[in-house]
Amino acid sequence: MVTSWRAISFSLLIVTAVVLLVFAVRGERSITSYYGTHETHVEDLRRLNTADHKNPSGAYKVALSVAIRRIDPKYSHLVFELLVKNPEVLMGNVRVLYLISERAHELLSASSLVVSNAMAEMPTTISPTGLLGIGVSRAFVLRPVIEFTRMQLLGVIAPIRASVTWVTPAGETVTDYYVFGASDLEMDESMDDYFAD
Amino acid sequence: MPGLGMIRQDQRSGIYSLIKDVSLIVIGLKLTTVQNIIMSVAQAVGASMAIDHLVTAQTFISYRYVGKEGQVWTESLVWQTWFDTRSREVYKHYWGTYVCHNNFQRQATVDFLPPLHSWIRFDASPSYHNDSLIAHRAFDNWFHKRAWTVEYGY
Repeated sequence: MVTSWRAISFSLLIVTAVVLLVFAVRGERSITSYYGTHETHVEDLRRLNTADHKNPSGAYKVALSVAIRRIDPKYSHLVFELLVKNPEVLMGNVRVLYLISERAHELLSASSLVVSNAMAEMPTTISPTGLLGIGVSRAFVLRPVIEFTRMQLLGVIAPIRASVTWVTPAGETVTDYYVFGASDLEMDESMDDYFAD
Repeated sequence: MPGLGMIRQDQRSGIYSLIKDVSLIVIGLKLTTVQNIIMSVAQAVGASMAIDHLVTAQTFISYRYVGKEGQVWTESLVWQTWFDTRSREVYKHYWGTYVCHNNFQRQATVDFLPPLHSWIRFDASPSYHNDSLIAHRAFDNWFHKRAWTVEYGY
């Protein structure tokens, strides 16, 4: 009887050990979720994705540039800048919004691919005699992926959809929409250094 | 910030030479200065600053949620989650605006995100760092036929 009780205890011990092994914690899950939605901005983004390229005003020039700034031998920032320049008239409350192609997530560590000056509490006015332009940038962290070429980089970041909203001297609010393909992007000199290495 | 996934923490505006040493809150007791923010922005943009102009510096945070699941190998020969523990990583972002020598206003958002930067605060759930406790809680829920439970660190 004692022997069989011991056998039962031993069996229970074995079963417990197996069960404990089986109830291991499996893997680690990562959920990426960010706060920050705003109906007006969501609507602006929806318009960006549906609007055609149009610049009815023609009262200024735009340029979208891309640069790579090395932080250390392994890591870099990929910096986008949309420049609104050469205003022919006074442009009040200039607001810039642009959206990098969704595929850029392959190369960038980012919560969102939106670049905007929506956080500026003071409106920016540019004119031929005052501030001559406005540049709106974002420095994204570039993932240390194995290797990529300039063409592969351009292939994932374009097209970039943008809007420039401003108020005319007559008080009318104008929104111009742009779509920048890979060939429309201006490459900073830093790109040459980066891809030469 | 709308659409950008960031929450503003602090802001200062003024003439750069007068406010460059003013502190801004990043989160809790972590501080930075206007100078740090504007220098980070100018470095990203790659355009030098005209010193005695108006600048604005802002700090932002964003969150990344991470979790661990306690799973049980059930009678139906599949792994089932019976306990979930969720924590939160907090990251910082700087935004600033200044006037460059060409009389253009330049502004930029600079992300401090992985893998280049680590989180600045980690809101850990009670069991997050104890894998055997997570396994035990999962087994306990399964054995007693309780509902799948989740605990949070935020």
